[in-house]
This record gives sequence, structure tokens and C-alpha cells, in this order.
Amino acid sequence: MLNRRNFLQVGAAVPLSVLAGEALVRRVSAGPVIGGKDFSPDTGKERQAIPSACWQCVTRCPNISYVEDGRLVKIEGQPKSIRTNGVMCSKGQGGVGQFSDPDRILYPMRRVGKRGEGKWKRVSWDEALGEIATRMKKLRDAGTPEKVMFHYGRMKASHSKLIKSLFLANYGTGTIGNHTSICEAAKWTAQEMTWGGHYDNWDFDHANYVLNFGSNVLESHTNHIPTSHRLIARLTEKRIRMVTFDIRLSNTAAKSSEWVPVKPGTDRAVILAMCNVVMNEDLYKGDGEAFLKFVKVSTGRKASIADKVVALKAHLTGYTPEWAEKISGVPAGKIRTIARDVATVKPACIITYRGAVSHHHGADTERAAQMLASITGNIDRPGSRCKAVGAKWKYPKGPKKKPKTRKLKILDGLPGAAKMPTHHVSHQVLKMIKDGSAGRPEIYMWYCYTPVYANGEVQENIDILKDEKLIPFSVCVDPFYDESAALADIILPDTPYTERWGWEDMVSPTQVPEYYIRQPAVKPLGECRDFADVCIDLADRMGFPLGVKNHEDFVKASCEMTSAVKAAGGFEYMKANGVYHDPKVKPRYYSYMKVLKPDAYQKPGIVMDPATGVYWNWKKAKVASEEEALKKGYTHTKKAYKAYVGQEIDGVVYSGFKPDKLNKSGYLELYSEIVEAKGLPAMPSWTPAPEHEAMKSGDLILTTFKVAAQIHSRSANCKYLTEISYDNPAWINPVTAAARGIADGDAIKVKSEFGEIETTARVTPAIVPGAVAISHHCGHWEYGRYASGKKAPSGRNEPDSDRIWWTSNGTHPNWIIGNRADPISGQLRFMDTVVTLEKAGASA
Amino acid sequence: MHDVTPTIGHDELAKSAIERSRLYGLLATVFRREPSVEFLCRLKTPELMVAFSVAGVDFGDDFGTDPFADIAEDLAIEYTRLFLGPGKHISPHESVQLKRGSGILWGSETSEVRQAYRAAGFDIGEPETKIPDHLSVELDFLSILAREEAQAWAEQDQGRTAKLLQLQHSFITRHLGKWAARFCARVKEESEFAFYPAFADLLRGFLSGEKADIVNRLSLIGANDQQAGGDHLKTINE
Repeated sequence: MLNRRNFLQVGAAVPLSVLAGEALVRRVSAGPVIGGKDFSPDTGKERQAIPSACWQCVTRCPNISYVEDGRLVKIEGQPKSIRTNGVMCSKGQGGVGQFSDPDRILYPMRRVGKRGEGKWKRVSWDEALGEIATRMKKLRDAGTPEKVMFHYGRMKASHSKLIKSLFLANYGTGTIGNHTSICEAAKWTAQEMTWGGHYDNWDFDHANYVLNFGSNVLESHTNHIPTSHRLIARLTEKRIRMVTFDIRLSNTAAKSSEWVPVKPGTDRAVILAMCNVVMNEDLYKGDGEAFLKFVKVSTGRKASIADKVVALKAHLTGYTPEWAEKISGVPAGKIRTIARDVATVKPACIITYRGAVSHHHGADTERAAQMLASITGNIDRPGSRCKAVGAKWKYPKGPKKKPKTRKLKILDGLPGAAKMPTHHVSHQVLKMIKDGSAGRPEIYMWYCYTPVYANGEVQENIDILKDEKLIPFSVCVDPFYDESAALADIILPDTPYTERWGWEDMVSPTQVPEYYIRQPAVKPLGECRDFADVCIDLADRMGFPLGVKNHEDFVKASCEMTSAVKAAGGFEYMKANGVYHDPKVKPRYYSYMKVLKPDAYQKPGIVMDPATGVYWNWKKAKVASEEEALKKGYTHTKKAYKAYVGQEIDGVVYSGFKPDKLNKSGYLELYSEIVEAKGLPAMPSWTPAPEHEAMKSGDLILTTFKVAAQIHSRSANCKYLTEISYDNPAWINPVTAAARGIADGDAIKVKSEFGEIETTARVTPAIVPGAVAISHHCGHWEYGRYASGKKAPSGRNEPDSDRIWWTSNGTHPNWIIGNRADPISGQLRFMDTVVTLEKAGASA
Repeated sequence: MHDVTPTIGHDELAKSAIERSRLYGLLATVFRREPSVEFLCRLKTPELMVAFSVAGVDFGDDFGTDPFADIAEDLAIEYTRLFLGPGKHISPHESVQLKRGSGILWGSETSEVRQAYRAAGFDIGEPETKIPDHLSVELDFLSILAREEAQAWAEQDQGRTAKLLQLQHSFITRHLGKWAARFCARVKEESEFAFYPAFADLLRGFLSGEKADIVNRLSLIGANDQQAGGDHLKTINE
């Protein structure tokens, strides 16, 4: 009887001479094709592959856009990218919807009815830009360029350089708002206070333990795929331990080794208690103790390591695990166990995000995390939170002589809103315009941003934007019509990212910089124009040419000016490959430990500041003389941080933790005299939110979150994404629900001092009692058929409208969230709103 | 070149092809952009107004009385509201409107339309910002085919005439005829002024008879050549 062995014996007996000569199949590449190619399922023909870059979220992953017969049909990850390794999230893949959205704006529009009435007329670009240029020029000629306010959402890398550094700088307005305060300003400001740069990379590739406070990194993060796919690999392949503190069982928490539920806004108490354990149990000894050399924990700069240990212990005395348990609901024993783990399993990566920092004194939560990372020796070493590394592009700087910019003081919030808003308080810009005491812009222009929808207090945003007395002229730059565009005077149709150029520089998780570009997959549809090109046009019209023809020209020049990219083959190489990294560059860790050679700091213009030990270039800081520099001191000289050279520690000059935005020293400052001078706690401390202290029985705290298939405000028009994620019921714990007679799926009302919304209840033990969680991205009412569901004005009698099978498009929580700011950083406190909850109809 | 002796003279067939071409051209212009004052002036010649009247095209009372500048302004707003947005509008693109189609902008239907242009030896002009399956582009394509058909009749080029008629029949069958009527019905529902519904009626009415007319014309090619005419018709019926 034949069996497998018998078959193989036949194989063994076959002489080579029996085999027909030449093989029919030949290998044509070194290995299997993994990405980078795609074929039409209909014709089998290879699709055109355009290396480009995403713009859905700020991560801006390199991608490959596939084009078939002039049509963008598919987007996938760039396999050559060291950041993503070819992985692309659902949002990135769903980006084809930005191209094919049937509700796209294809021509410039001018309103012809009352503002907000919805009555429009197409105008030519010439007419639209003619009007805008005339108005802008008049303000510039009158010496009041600051009356042009530009407010952006997503604007990075080459777009930022062209629009902000070239166009707006040469125009002369500094009234430029951003959106960082609704994102992660608290985290950024805290990092600037402590170690200088505003961004931390999480080196999951080498981590053996991950401690997470309020980051939903597996679903949404500012460096999402580059970090999350590494984290998943580490969790599954190396089986490292990850503990997530969150009020909600997010998918990140669910994939962690342990989810530790915590009351909203109390992560800082837990972190401080962990610091207490680490110090009191002498767990800092070893790496933490050695690292203290570079840390400032008290006044002055002459403290020994022993002094620092004493100071830390003294500061942390009251922050015991038992104290934290009362505040956070996390058992003291649990806090101790995790503190011991994070201090002893090396290296540990301590991560945080909006869940932890979008609170009252959220910046202090980040400072506390820096403290925990410092005393456990988990700073800027492989496997820890590291100083960000990104590509450093060179680019055309435009005219040498720029006007002195002027700005309206409306960017940093209402008086007293925030003491250190290093990234502004842009969610209060409209309030400031309404207030009027610091002046008002005559032109309010927004770009890739939706001031109505993205900020809190939606109704007030609408009322202000609608009011022509407060804002005489408004311009919206957007490829799509949305809740804010509906209130503009002129809409300029921008290209979606699928139809534009750009170079990119986002942080690399490998600590090796990656250069990458965006190139148009297809030509702009209709009359859409990249706003960077429009700015070049506007500058020409106003008589101050920027010296570049267009964005493509700018990218090309940048490729040739940036030595690493030029050496690789410049613009042509980048067009063909999309990404580049120098394989010889080693990952950058421990940059603060670099010892400076004397010729770096012993030269004319550089002095040592006796108070801080900082070497700084007083000439670069535009101080008149060395004598004045020494008299005034580094800390008290305006923008002296820009002239930082190095930090003297124990007679050696190190690179240290280079400051940014603040005149901090080169130490990692856990004790900040700058912060103290503002009347804030010098070291990270527990300061409860006033409204939480005043909560009445039955009050709850509303928090928000993001989901895997949507970004905050600009993806719900992508049909594939909205089909996945179209609704956002309010998560409430069964205990909370039972107390109010609410069952899963019930219609409920959520009320705050700012208003009320109606939504449905998702009753689940996956959230702590006492909290309500509602995700962002839903509840649009002017954003096309997919985002607005059946309620969309254009959404009927067309095939894709008829295919919208879902019956709800969710509820936008921002109607009832206040535009309040973290008193330190100015961050919008998305996670602090006190609300009540009742079954809909219960009060009728 | 074959000698063609249709029951209707070449000149008449050429003339009617020109008329069809011009009507397509007019409709393409109407749906291409907002009407200018000059365009309205040209539209309101006595001959044309009589012809519109005979065809049952009614622009409403205002069209006869209001100043052209006012009408142009109203219609510019109307055109934007109906066909451009932002927000509520009736997308004038086959891929968005086609029943059971992709429903998206520049969908697979758009590629097929462009391939139809290319297969016939045409393409979208470089500066043109219209997407290939925009109503006005499809109408423009038919206008050009009909114009060339007229020339072919005049030159008594039987093969070319047949080919051009087949192309028109095929394009109407596979593309414009599949979605135009539904689109026109929506225009009538959503309009505030009589202008666009009038042209929507004209388009719908005209297009409804086009395929039969084309078949008839093809049959005329074969009046003296049963075999050739039969083949042309056979191609269409297939």
C-alpha cells in the first residue's frame, strides 16, 4: 500500500537527467512581494503606486497611494518606512474617502445671504483672492497686519513652513492660533518645563515594562501606528507586562496585562504615591539615583545626590498610597505593587496622554510622570520615554528681510485662564474676540480646522462666528463643507492630502530620523488648490513674493538642500521611494549626557550663568554686552533659551536637557523656579479641580475619548470609516445606571452648566462608577452625507445615501463641555466636566 | 467611398445631425456653468424663444420681464445651490447619481466614461477642471459626435457615419441614458426658478427619443445597402 513515504521514495529516485531543462518559473525579486504593489481585481493590470504620506491624523504615516485609470482606489502602508514598517491604520486606509467624498467643495464660494444662511455663489479664484488680498493689503498698509487672524488645525512640516514661516511672517501678522490646547498642550508644556523639548517618544522596541496613564495608544495617538504596532509586537512576542490606568476599558486597556480603573482626573495622585513608594523603599537606588545627577529637585544648583533624595522624600511625604487610594479609588496595595514593578523591571516605559492630562493642573500630571520616570532611571534610555527624534529638513527661507510681526493678544485665553500657555489657549480665541478688550481681528481665516465643532461650548462658537460685528470678514480654507465652513464669508477649496505635495518630519520610534514626502496621487479635482500654493499667490498679489513657485518647487528645493536627502538622490529619489533614512545613523539615546568640548562653550559671546550653571550665548540672545548678560542673568533674559549652549554639572559641561519655550536650565527640572514664580507649585503636586471638590450627590464627571476608526473632527466624511464607527453612546457603569433607572440602550439626557444633549446609554462595567464617557467624532450636522447620516441635507435619492443603513450619527459632546483651561498650560479640560444624567423624558 | 442614397437626403440628415449637435451643445453649456448676461441675451432671441415655446420649454414669467443682470445673479446662486453646493446639492456626476452605482466622486463609472471618450479618440482638455462624468462633459461629447456625424453625412462616408452613430447609441445606452432622467427629475424637485427645470425637461424629452432616432438613422445608411445597414443595426442590438 502506498503511503507518503512511498511517494517520497519516488522523488528520491528521480535523477536530474529526467527533469526538463530550463525552469518555467523564475524568481524576479529577492523575496516575496510584501506591499508596494497592487493589481486591479478586474483587469489584473498593475496599479500605479505613488509613494506619499497620510494626513488623517498628526502621525502622518508614509503611505502608498494606488491609482487606477486616474482614480485613487486604495491606500496602504509604506513598507520601506522604518517608522511604520508598512503598517497602516484603518483611518489611513479609509483616506480614499477624502478623495471621493461626493460632498467635496470643488470651487471657491462666496456667501450671498446672511452669514450662516447657507446661500452661496461660486466665484473664480481670481475674484476670491482678489478680495482677500485687497482686504489684507489694506490692513498691512495701515500698519495693522495683526488684524488678520489665521487659525489652523493640522499644519505641519512643509505646510507650516510655507504658510506660517514664509507667508504669514512676511505679511507681518503674529495673530496665529493653533489647536494644541484642545489636543495635548498640558503634556507639551510640562515637558518643556522639565526636559525642554515638547514631545516624548516611547521606545517600546526595547521596553520590558509599560506603565500607561490615560493613553489609548492602540486606538489613537499622535504617533499612533509607529508606536502601537511595536507595542503589540512587544506584548505578544516578548510577553512584557503592561499596566493601564484608565477610567474606561479602552481597547488599549483590554490588551494590557492589567487594567486598573481610576477615578477621572486622579492619575496624578496615583503617580505621586508611586513616587512616594519608590523613594521610601529606596527603589530609586541604581539607575534612578545615578540619573538624579541631571535632575533638579530643589532651589539652586549645588545640591548633592543625597540632598536631592532628601528633598524628594520630603516633597512626597504626604503622598502615600493610602492617601492616593482615597482620591483615586485605586487600592494602596495595588499602587505599591506597580510602583515596585516599574522601579525594578528595567527598562520601563512610562506613558501618558490626554486621559491623564486633559484636566485641571493636567500639566502637573505630566510633570509627576517625569518624576516617576526620573527616579526609576527611565529617561532617554533604550526602552523608556525618550527625547523625540525627527527629520531636520533644510528649506528655502524666503525673503531675507521680514517685517516685524505684530499680534493681537487674544491667543492665550481670558485673563487669568492659564499661567504658562506655551502652546496658547486657542479654544478661547472666540471668547477673546467676543470680549474685545485685546482687540479684534478684521479678518478671521481658518485652515484645516473647525472652530465650531472642535472646541467646547459649540453654541457660543456658532454665535460668535455668525456675528458680523465681532468678526467682519471670515475665510474658511477646507476641502469640505462643515459646521464652521457654513459660517464663513468665503470658502477656498483646499486639496485633500491625496492631491498635494509636502515634506514630512514626524518623530521616529526608532530614534533614527526618517525623511519622507507627500506627493499627489491624482491631480486636484475641480478647482481645488493646495493652500500653500494659494499663499504664494496671495503674497504675489500683495507685492511680497516669497521666492518659490509652488509647493512642489518648495519640496524639490528642500530635497536638494537637505544633505542627507540630497546624498540619497534628492527629489527624484524621494519621488520614487517616498521615504529615506540613513542606515549608518545610530539611534539617539542619552543625548543629555554628551560632554561638550571646551571650544563649544569657551568662545566669545558665551557666558556661564552662575545661578543656573547654564552656558548661553548672550549675543544670540540679543543682549547688548556680556556685562549686561551677567547682570540680567539667563533666566531673566527674554527668550534666552534660544541661546542655550550647555549645562555645567560638577565641573563638566554637558549638552543637558536643552530648553525650549522656557528659560529653564539644562537639568531635567522637577523643581521649577519658573513655575514657582508664577505662583504654581514648584514640584508636581496634588491640586484638585475646584468643581470636583464641589460636586453634589448624583453629579458625575464627563470624559471623552477617541475610537480606532475616526480622528477627532475630519474623518467622518470618509464612508468606510463612518460605516465602521458612526455612533457614540454614552458609557455608564451599571451602578450609575441603576441608581437612575437607566437600562442599556435607553435614551438619556446629559446636562452640564453649558447645556444638555440627548444620547443613548451604553451600560457597561467597562467604565468606573461616577463617570460618563462619550467619544468624539460623531454628531455632525453640516459635514456631508456620511458624517451626518440621513440627516445630511444632500443625503437623499443618491445611491450612496440610500446605502447609509445606520440610523444614528451620534451626539457631539462638545455642546456641553466648557472651554475651560488648565490653569497651568491652558489645555482644554476635556475630561473634567461635571454633569448630571437622567433618562430622557424622566423630567417631563 | 460608397454611394449612399437614403430616403432622406444627405443634406437633411446632416442638417438634423447639426441640430442635434447644437442642442446637445446648448444643454452642455447650460449645465456647465452659471449663465452669463451675454448668454442669456443670446438665449432670448425671438427665433430661439419661439423654438423653446414650440418645444414646450417654459422659463417662467420672470424670464421675460426681469433685467438680465438680475436673472444672471439669481441663476448663479441657483446653479451653485443645485449643482455645486456647498452642502445640499445634486451632484451632476454619473458616478454619484447612477442607480446602484458607486455613489462616490470619481468612481469606477467615471473611469469607464473616460475610457469611452478615449476609445472614440477623445479626452478631456487639459485646462478643463470638470470631472469626466460631469453632465456637461457627457453632453459635450455627444454634441461633438453628432457634429462629426453631420460632416460624415455630408461627405457621404457611410462607414464613418455608422461608426459615429454607434458611438452615440452606445454612450447613451451605457452612460448618459442611465442617469440623466433621474437627475432631471431631481432638478425639477429642487429648483426655485423655472430655468433649470425647463432645461431638465428639454434634456429628458430629447434624450428619450435619441436612441430610436439613432437606430432610424442607421437604418437609413443601409437603404441602398441592406447588408451594411443590417450589420450596423446588429452591432447596436448586440
